[in-house]
Amino acid sequence: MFARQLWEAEAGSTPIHQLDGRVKLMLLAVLGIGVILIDSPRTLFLLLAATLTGHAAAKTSLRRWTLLALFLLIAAWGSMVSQAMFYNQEPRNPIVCLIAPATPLLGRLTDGVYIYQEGLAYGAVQAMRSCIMLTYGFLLCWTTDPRELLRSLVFWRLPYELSFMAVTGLRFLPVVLSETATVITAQRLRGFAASKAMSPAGAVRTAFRTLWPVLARSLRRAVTLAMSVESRGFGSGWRMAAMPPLTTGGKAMLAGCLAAALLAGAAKLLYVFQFNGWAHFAGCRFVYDFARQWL
Amino acid sequence: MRTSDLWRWLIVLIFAASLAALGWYVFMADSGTRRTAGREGGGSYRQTAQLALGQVEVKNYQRMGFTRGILRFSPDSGLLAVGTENGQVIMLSREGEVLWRRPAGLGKVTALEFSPEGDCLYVGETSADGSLYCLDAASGRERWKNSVAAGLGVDLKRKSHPGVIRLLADRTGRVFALGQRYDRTAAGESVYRGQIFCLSPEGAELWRFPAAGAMDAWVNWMGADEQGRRIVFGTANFDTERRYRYDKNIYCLNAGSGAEAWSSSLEPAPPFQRTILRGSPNIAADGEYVAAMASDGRAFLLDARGRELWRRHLSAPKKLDEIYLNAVGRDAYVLGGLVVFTTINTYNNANWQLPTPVEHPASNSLFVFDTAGKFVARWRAGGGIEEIAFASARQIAVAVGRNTKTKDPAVHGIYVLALPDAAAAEKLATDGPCAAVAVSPDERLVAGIEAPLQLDDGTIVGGYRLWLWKKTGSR
Repeated sequence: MFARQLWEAEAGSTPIHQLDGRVKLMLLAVLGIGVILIDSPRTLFLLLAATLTGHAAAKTSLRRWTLLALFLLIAAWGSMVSQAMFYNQEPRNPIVCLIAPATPLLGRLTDGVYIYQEGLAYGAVQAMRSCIMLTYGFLLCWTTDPRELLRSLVFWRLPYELSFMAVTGLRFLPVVLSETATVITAQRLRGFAASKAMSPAGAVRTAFRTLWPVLARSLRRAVTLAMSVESRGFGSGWRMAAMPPLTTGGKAMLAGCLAAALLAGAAKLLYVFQFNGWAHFAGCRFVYDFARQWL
Repeated sequence: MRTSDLWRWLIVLIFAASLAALGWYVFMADSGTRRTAGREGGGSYRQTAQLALGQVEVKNYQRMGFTRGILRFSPDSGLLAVGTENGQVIMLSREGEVLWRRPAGLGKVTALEFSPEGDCLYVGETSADGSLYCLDAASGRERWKNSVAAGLGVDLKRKSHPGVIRLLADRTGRVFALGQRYDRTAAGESVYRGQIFCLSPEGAELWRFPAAGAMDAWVNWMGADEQGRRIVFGTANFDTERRYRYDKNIYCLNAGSGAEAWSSSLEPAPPFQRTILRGSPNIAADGEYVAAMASDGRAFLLDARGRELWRRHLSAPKKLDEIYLNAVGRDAYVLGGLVVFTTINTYNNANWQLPTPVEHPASNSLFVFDTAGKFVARWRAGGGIEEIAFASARQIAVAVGRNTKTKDPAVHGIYVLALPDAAAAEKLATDGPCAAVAVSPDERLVAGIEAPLQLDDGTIVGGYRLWLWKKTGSR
């Protein structure tokens, strides 16, 4: 997990690697808006399956699959279990009773602890939203050269300074993890025993002992980087060379992606209008039915 | 393989299993058909299939209220149509195989009926369009659609939608649809608008009642004779302060023209100030008699011209701590030479949603009389009578739901009673309360919809699912 190579982009010849960074970024934007607007668990699951298929197409290594799976498992189960137990909207239907209301002390205190059907479904939707973005984010980072990412961000009219900061942040993550690994190794060499950190107090102590050196080293790197970019004229009006025009395939994909997003957005808007009683068009019934089931 | 690789594969496998479980939950959890290996349903019936119908709100013993579902067998007993509370129409074969499913989308499925040939399924929905669909029974494809109830108006903001709440089809293929819309004014007054439509088999409107405007009455039920000559409907106008234009209790229409043939008033029975008919009247197959059961517990039999032949007081309200408790009357059917009436749960006259502390002695009962008014039999269900179904005058199936007083889940199920004595009951047990029942015209199949129920200790019994039983013996 702390290996720097695990987090950085890797060159490859798969169609995902070859896909233009600008298209990938547009897909990221569409997905980001889409997962907020879409409420249908079926569509969210299909989107999650699609992003995972992207990893398979990009021939993601087993080590990276492990990392991705670990993140997704924590996000999905954490969200589902917590929402299933603490869901407080009505109606809520218990499907499993963990602590019966008649149980002495705990039952009376909590009025019963249940796994709620609606909570599970709500948690699953939230989990899938997070997982889609997480999965696609990893796909983007692992298959796109940071320099291409920077140029693509600038192409989409993000200010150069912000684009640079975003890409630098991305590149800093593996560096920070690598630093953390170095600090932990150094602590072990000085006699640090992991078993002693199992208590809450021990965990806090260990965290501080690890965080301070990591923070210090990160700041030192940041200062070096700042001086380096300043010395190269960062922010003095220098601009990057323009990107080559998009290929026909890239343009088609971009157009398809935007058209699908616009259509879905319009359908959702119509549905929201009728749901709130603002406008209902009898001729749009198939759009309403589609939006209710899939959006 | 190294240990680290083993761990990696294990994490990936756990992830794959979680993903598969999530996929199953998202796509399949609501729609699993389980064929059962001939589990005995009780007596001469054998359970042949079970079908999950999706997720619904789980009811408990603390509040009254119903989980709904509609079941209809085709005239040749080969198909079973199911309308679910969560807006799906499902068609099954007589073996319980799902042939097709059709989501109602924005609408709620509020009525189902097969055409006399069984090739069409009519579906009534409650939605902003208030449509009636004619679906191909074999494929589920839409043949035609008519927004018959749209004329009743819609208030999108208050979610007051028109709906087709009852459908009947006569032997000539004409379809009779009862349209209804409920609204509430800013002053809190309940407003009902109702219309009855007659459509040709092709979906063209032949007539409507009233010809102009809508009835200002709550019309919840409509019955027709087998030949489609007469239609009867009752009103449930409970508002005592209001003056209704349609203030009679039973109306009979000429099914050929939609003109009113006769109407009848049933004076209220104190302490009630209105006579309310919610699950009746019904007209005999030959059109000779009209049976009606009022909510106040009175049973009526009228002749074909609306003249009262006799009445019986099956459930008298009982006063308890200044509040009247009553076993509400609901169903009334004429089956051959017999007349069948039912009473349902005990209701508190001051607040129908709150369970009562005691049961009314006449509650949840089925009464059988002959057409001369002579008492034949009474059968008492251990739980709420949710629906009755029959295919002939030989037997009747009763869906029995929860009993909010005894709280005994053992009473849930379908009871098949032989008429006229209603004594030889066969019980087809379900785990949760039974919400709906249907009997196939050949009387070989019985279908029921079970609802989930939360017991007082928090455990859930049953689920929202369809049960199908097949008769194997001759008993």
